[in-house]
Amino acid sequence: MNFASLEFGVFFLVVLVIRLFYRQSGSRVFVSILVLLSLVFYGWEEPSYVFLILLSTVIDFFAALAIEKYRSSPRTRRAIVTISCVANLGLLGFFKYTGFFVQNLSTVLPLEPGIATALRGIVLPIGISFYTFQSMSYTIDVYRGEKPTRSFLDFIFYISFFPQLVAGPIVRAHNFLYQIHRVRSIRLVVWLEGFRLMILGFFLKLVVADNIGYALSGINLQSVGIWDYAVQPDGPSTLAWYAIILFPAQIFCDFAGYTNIARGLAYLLGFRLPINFNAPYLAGSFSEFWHRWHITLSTWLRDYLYIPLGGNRISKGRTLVNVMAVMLLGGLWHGAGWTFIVWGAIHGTGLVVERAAGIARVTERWLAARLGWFLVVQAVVLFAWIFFRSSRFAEAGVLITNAARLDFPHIEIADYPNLQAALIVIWAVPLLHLRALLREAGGRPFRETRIEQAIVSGFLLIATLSFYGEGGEFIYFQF
Amino acid sequence: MSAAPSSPSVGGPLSKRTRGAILHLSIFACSVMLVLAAARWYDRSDRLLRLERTEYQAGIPDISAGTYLGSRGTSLAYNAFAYDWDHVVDAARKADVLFLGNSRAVYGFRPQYFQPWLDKIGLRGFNMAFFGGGGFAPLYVIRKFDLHPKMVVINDDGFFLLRDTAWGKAARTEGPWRAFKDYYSKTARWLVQKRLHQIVPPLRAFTGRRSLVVYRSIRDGAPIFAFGESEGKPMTRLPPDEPSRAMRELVDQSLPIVRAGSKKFLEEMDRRGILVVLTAIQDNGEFAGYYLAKALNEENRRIYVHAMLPNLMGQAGSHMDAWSSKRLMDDLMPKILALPQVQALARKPAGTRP
Repeated sequence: MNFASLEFGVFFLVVLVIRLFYRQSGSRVFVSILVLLSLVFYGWEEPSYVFLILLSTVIDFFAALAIEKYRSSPRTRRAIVTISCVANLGLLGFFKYTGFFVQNLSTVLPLEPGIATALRGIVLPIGISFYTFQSMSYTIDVYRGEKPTRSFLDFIFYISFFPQLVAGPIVRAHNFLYQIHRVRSIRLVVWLEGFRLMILGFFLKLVVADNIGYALSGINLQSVGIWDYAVQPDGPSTLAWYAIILFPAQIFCDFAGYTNIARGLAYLLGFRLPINFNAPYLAGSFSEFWHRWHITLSTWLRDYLYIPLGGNRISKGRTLVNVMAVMLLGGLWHGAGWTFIVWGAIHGTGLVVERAAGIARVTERWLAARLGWFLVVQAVVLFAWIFFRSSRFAEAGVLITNAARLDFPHIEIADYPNLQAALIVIWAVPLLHLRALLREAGGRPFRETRIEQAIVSGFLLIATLSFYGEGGEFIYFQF
Repeated sequence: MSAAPSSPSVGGPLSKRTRGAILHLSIFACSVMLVLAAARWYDRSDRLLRLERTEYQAGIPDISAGTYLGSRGTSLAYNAFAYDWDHVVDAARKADVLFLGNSRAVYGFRPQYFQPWLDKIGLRGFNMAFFGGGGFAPLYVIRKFDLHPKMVVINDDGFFLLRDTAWGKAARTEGPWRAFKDYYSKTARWLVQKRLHQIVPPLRAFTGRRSLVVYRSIRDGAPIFAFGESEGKPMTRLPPDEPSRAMRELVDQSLPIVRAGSKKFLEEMDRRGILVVLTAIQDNGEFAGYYLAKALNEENRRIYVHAMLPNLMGQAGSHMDAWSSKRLMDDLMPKILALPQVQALARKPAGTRP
């Protein structure tokens, strides 16, 4: 179910009524109802996907118990965690990467056309990348010494908690399980914070991301947008630059919007979810970018991939190899395509250069160097998004060629669907980053008082109801 | 940022935080009301925000008025079929002649202009062209509802590409549950929007081009324009006899794809004993569909009726207006009716259909 849909509006009202009914939540009944609602939420688009999430949950719940049981036998423990990881990655691999694998294999090895078509046509269940990572992290944590939960209800609730189920943030078990049976009364301040986050999230998604999305890609598969014009051979640079600027704003607002809605919903239900975005386009280095963008994924990759590979403990050369490997796999996690791998490789290269050249030492010392490297980082980030959005290398190549030609013929903005609206709403992105910059710098005017927060929320709500775009799926649903 | 509560609330006088929260809520409500009041005041003083200038004034389809929602940039028309909307399917099932194609066919093949011609030979027509192209949708609908018209008239403007349009994809993959959800959630959404925008002005409707709201008649599929599409442009160009080199290359590239699509479609029509009449109507562009149709039909050797007319008028883009549709039908329909195969159909009693 999409947060930005009428069905979710009805679903949300049901959840609110239940929450009001169970004011001192923490009871097993409340948790059971939420599990049931979460499965309805997940299965709304395709009911059969519920079996997949149940399968993943059952595997990891029992794997964790078995690891605990054989705590004294390292070999058995290792075998169990390996089985769990293989099962989770197998599910993810089958649904997400089979088509990609077959497509690449068929270029070198002729396959039966019927089989190849069937395998390429496997549909990716939404959110599978998120919940398999979450489920896997639990088993690995138990393997590393954490206590498993003995309640299947708690575990399935942790995996299926609907606010974060389909697009994160990726929550760790030790940050969530302890919250389940706390007694949580309804407190106005918490609810207001929840609603404030939800309003901000809906504004980012419905107003900014959806209006930009409409301008970039058209309203549906039948129509075309700026991106389609920008990837035409010999297209004007103006459109290519619009595409290059608009997409990073769209993906940020789409994903950050989702996270804010998820966090706000969790507050209303009495839970806390981690922050996932912190003004990423303020990042002065590649390393900082990944501390600001999709934070829960980057910390997951650090804890469950980078550190097991040796992290920075072995040698400088090995550290760089590890960084690159993590970023390549991070790219592949986002999508089964070579363009996503290139996106990861560009970021990996940035991180490697940054570490190898010791850029942090220089930027710490000189303001000019800091500013210069900030511009380089942000330019590379924008460049990398071109590959992320492109379906083929040729598409990215044409867009880059068009942008590099630097011819800027006059174009009539009104001729392009919704471009006018997109160019209005995109200003929310620099404003949001300016606010974050001033907050980080300790600027008093932008550390809002409660009254200022209320006024801003009021305006954002009206802006959302008045200027929403044509609701589309959240981009990260497909990952 | 507030932390999640970890202890139950206490009774007695309101705490400082709760009082702050109530103040927060009050200020929030005041902000909302202030903006709304300003918008309503502005609405009275300036016509810019008046609701009737937006698409939401068009309302939702009124089945009792004999219409269903054809297009608002959505796939509702397809879902009207997929969800087995009895009225629409019945009309399509009862028709002797189905007019198929893309949105140009929706505008070009208007029942009020083709039906008088069909009446002469006692046939009944239904415009089953879809916005967004043909794709798999027409073939899917014909198979799913087991339609047996005597004849189909196709605007072969990329009709046989059978590409994955949103409708084509939906036709092949959506089950009844999805179609049901899609149809009713979109209709409900529009109803909510209509009510919402009686309070909050829909500002985005005033940027860029206007949306299009088109109903389709349940009886014959005729388009009924509820909102948008008011700026007509002349459609003066006719396709040159010979395509340009670039166009020829494009046609050559597309031929293998349409060849496969046309084989699939025409075999199904032959199996059902349906007469196929092909044509290609004005597209006001590079006429790619026209050249492709001609090239394909040199192989297929089906009935093809030339229908390009000079000096038509566009209702919007390459969608012709009512006057142009009448001119087109007055030109095309006599040619179709003169075909011996069509004359034979006219003599065929209705009971002979499979």
